[in-house]
Amino acid sequence: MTEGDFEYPEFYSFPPFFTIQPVEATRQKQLALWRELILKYHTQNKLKTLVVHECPLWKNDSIGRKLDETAVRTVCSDLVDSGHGEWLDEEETACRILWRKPEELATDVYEWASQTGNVGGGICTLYELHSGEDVNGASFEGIDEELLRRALAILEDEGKCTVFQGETSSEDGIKFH
Amino acid sequence: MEDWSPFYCLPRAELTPSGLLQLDTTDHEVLLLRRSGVEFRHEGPTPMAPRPRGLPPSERWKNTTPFEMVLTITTHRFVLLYKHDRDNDESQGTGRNNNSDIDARLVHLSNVRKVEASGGPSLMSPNSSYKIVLTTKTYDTLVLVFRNSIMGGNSSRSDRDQSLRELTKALERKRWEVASRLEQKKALEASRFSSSTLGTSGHKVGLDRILAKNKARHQENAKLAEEALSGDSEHLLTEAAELLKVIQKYTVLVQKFEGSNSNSDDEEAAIKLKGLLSDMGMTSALSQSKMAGTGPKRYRSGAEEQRLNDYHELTARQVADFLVPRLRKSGKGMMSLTDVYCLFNRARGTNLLSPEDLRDSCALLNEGLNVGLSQRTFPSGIVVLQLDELALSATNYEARRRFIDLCADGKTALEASHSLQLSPLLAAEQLEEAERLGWLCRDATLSTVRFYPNKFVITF
Repeated sequence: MTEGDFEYPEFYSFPPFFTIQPVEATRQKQLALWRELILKYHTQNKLKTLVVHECPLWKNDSIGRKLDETAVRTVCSDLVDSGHGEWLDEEETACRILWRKPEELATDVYEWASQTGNVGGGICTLYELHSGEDVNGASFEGIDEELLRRALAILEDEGKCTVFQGETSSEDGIKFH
Repeated sequence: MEDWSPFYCLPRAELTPSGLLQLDTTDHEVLLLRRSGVEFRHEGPTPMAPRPRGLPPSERWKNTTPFEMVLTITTHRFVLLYKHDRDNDESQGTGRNNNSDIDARLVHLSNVRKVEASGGPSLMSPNSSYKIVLTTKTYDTLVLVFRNSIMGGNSSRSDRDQSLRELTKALERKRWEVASRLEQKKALEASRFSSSTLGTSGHKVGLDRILAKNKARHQENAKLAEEALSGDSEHLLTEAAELLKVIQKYTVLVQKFEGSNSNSDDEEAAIKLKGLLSDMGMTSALSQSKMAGTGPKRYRSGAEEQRLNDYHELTARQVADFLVPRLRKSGKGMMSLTDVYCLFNRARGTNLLSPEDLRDSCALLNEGLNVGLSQRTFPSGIVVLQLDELALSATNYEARRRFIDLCADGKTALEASHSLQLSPLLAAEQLEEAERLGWLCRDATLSTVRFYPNKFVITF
């Protein structure tokens, strides 16, 4: 899927969407819509980071509206506050997009494991988990390794899997219980 | 009805929607004086009226109505006004109309035979209060007791004296008879004219006839001179009555103009004429001093404070009477206090209201006057008076729908001001208020702010 194929939701062409609303209740709804849009856009296009100055979402030429700089900052910090993003640098110029929160991801991975018969059985590698053939269509396909590790750590804490050290980090093995 | 007392034996007086006395303008009734702190007594061998049915046996006839009432004297009658305490009277709390809280009873002056002063401190009774004793045709003797002295000062004496003066004057003038007297006179003159012409032409001829005619003319002139010099203001009043008739004719004309809504020229003329009429209208515009007799404002005792408050309440009710029908008719629903000040004073023509008095009066609108009008201060500091039924509130679904429909394709304050029939400034305030209520949201660009229905909450 390329970026051009992304289907923008209806509210993306609603002019007030590009003005941060002064009324608290309305603003909450608006920011939730922005979160939804950013996540959807990055998930569908398999983008792992959002570079603040490059993101095309801030501007909708068809209605001649764009978020101004402070508005972009508001939307981004809301994303980070909600747990769906993480600043990659101190200057806050780039943001890692957490498609799924680690807890959600952990559930997804375990569900996938039980469906594919990996629970209590074979061992798969970290690489297989994000780029293997079996994960085609799963929510964590093509995901950042770092994020996957966090999810696995949660599963390990819950006693649902064990992670073995491999020769390279991608070859770490996982056994589901 | 708490007691069976003289007050409740009197007929009710009609009030305007905001609780002011309704004057009979067709008979040219004019408000003369208003005083508070008045007690009403009856003196006679039997109660004023038979015992009402359904009254609990514990209630006995009382010769006096002990609560403090407001006395209003007009050219035709005097009216006693009693305001029920809302807290004590929960059953009436639901009514929007304020009339249920105000009980007004009248005594027509034609019923009064004699009016005299009485009471006042003397050697024998140093605490005697100032009274007016009215001898009436049907109620035996009625007594008005002026009680304002309790709050300090000797205001009750001047209250009594001024009330007595106005009552005496009104009784002498017999304004309520003017209309019928005028008609009688006309009829008399008409008959006299026809009989005299018939009489002379019937019996006299030639020089005799001319002489008789001259004599009749001299008599007529003498009578005219006598009338003119008699100094009675009655003649003037009859003239005024004719003038009022003319004004009323124009009022009808104005209404016709407004009804037909024909072309702009006519409308402009109507507006002009209406302005002129407003000048002459509002005959009940009492000045502060006539209303309560307050002195200069720098010195105020407790009693004067109370009187000033009375005056402000009265003014607030007048403003409501003046403004509510206008706002309702125009569909605006609100007007800035500055505009109210200009329009209201324009309508009064004389006895202009000071800005301070208007502000204090309108502030009372929010303190339970319940006249359908309230004052509102926008966050920007603009103060407006608005109709309660058109006020924006979370429960006013009609207004909600109206604003959402209005802004369906995005509206600036300027655009909205046309359909809201408000100044752009007030329209902006209304839109922002609707935004605060979550009905609208904004699209701010460099050039302007546009309001849209709040689809964030409604649709998405």
